[in-house]
Amino acid sequence: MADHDYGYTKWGKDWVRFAESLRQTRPDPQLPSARRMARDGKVQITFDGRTVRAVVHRGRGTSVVTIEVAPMSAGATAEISRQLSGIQPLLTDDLYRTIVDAGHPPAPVLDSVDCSCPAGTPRCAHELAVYYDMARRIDDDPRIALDVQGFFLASAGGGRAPAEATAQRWTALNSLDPAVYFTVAG
Amino acid sequence: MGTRQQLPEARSDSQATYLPDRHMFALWTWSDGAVGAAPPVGDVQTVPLVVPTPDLGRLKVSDVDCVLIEPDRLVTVPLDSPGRSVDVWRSWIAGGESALPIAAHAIPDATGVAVTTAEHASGVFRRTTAVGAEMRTALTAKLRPYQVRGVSWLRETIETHGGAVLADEMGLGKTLQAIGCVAGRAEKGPQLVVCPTSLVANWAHEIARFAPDLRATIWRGGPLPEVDNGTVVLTGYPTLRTHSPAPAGIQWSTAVFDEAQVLKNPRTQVSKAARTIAADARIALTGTPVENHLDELWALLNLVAPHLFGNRAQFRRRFVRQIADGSRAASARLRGAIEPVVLMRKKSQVAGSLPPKIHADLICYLTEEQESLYDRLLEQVIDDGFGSGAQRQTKVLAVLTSLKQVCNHPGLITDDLGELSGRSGKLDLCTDIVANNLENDSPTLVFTQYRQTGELLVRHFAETFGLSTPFFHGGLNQEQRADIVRRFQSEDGPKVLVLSLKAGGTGLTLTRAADVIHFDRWWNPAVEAQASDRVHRIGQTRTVTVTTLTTGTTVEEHIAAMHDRKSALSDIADMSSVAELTRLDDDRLIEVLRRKRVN
Repeated sequence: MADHDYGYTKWGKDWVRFAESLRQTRPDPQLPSARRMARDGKVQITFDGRTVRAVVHRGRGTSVVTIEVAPMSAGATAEISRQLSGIQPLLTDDLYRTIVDAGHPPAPVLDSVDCSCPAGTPRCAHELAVYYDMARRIDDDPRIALDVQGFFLASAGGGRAPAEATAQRWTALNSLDPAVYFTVAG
Repeated sequence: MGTRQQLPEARSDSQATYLPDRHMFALWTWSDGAVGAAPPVGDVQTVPLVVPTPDLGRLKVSDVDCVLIEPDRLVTVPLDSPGRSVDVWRSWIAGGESALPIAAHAIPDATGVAVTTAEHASGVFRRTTAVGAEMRTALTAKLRPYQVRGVSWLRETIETHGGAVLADEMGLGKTLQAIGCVAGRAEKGPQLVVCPTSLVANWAHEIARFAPDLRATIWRGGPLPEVDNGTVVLTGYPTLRTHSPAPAGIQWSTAVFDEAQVLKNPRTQVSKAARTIAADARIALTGTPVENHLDELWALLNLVAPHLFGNRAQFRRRFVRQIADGSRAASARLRGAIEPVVLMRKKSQVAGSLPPKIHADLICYLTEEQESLYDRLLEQVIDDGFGSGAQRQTKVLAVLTSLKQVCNHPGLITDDLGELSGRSGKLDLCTDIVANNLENDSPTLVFTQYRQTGELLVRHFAETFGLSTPFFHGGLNQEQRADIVRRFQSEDGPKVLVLSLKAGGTGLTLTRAADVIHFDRWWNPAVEAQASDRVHRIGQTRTVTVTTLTTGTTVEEHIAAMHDRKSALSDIADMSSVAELTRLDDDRLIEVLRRKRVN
């Protein structure tokens, strides 16, 4: 794909793959608008263990996407723990390749994906936008890729990824109600 | 206002938006469905804020005329019809915790698609207020609000990411903020500060002055001193390079890298040595505008937060090339990506919190050549004696002059003026400051009392920076003087101007510069102040930074100490201090002149 904004790390690329599957033969017309939603900050992700919950704003509507990520296999957890030394994990592309070469690809597996929108199709634009936004976040901080698979819980030693701290730092412009700009809602 | 009946919001409401990076409030007004004029309570500056569109249908980022004030002032500042955002922040300052309307935290992110959350704004406010209270007892200096935020930001960022880059513009007090952070981490283990050799003495001085509970020891190689909690080891980059195994063997609670742009090339020995230091927290301080040198920026980010900025090729692919191609979106994305670990503030942004003049009194060290020359001169004087009567005064003055010249540069006494750098701690420090100002496009005035020192500076700037520096001194005629002033004030004039304190100290207007360096100390603070006022005059719109260079352990410290006592008196006769010295008996006089041992 021409768009290098998403998945420029191997860790982030795994999430781009959910949107742009290698098995796909025809271009999906929903992808450009999904990328735009992620870029314009219309996806608000919060993490709860291995559950990714995202509020996606599109036009006047709001949808909630819930993704359950499968726990990382014990083999991959052990392999990554072995590779990571020091208190600050260095998640480089090289490390990714090493782990793959050792036979434990760290790519996530999704247990379930659900969107509250009425589209009813297996792949809606909201869901795709969340994949892109995950890729973007992971590019910025690859630890999220491991955290969302329960790695830091399983390996006990590592600290929590700062996903939570940064998640509440900003809120999307579009998700705020201008009517309560000067007053307080509720 | 005729429309008042139709639109209930059609009047001028004052609003207060908290600026988390500066711990200040932006005051602005909203009238008739649009942003109005800033309240008349201070200097106006524009700040990008998120505001509603006139129909209140949407929110957008827009440049708003604001007046910036500190939290203390928000309580008392008179405002017309204060809006809810003002009321709520006033209640927070009083210790309350009411819910914030959007207007109270309407700071956009770098890419303009998101707003600071109310939780973040109130959290930063609460934590910074608490750090401010703590710093009042931990440090002997009173921090300005943006400096308190610097300390609380360093703590939060270390907690979250393990490292931080504080890239405030020079003069905003990065050293003091770092000391504030270091003081709070003393219980966690020994700490290390690495800086250019020219600044080691100054760090020791500032730690002793601002955080007397810390124990600072200078390490110049060899075995490391005994370290434990509360110890701060200070060392220069060259020492780190040549003796790197020693500090690498200790688990430091904090490692501070001052003037960290020294480490811009990750392949150099010194950068490799810096990377071997094991520290729970790494802090890089730099005053150069990091956004202009993306490779250097990557090196600093990689030093303090390697887990976030691990791969140089990726960083280049994502930012460097696109920004070089002029992509505004890429620069906004870069700012967004580095924002968690880089805090970068400019003097203009915190001007409301700054006095019109900032004083930076720096302590320089003596090189070995200077030390032995200084002691040798003094031995000679002790042997010869000072004499008595009128002769005594002349002799004392001559001794003072030669000792001060040793502090400026040993070559001024020995006439060995071949290679200049590396021989005077003061010249090296001054060169670092000028280099920094050049990088920031800030013209600089350098004052000295001595014609010979001035010529040496001119030559040194030519050799080091390839600059042609004019020298304004008493030997020039009226026409030549006027020409130097005219050229300096012109838009593309010289970047540095050297002036003799006596000739250039009065009357001139040199407001193109906002940075003044006093290369040597004069007995009377009023004379220095008058010289500094060449740039701090009507027409000066920026904050003026006045740097004085004092050589530690020498008679210059004695002069500096007299300034502190005298600064209230302005019209003391210049020579009375020398006369005072002349009246001392020989032993006491020698005591004043002799080098004070440190540590």
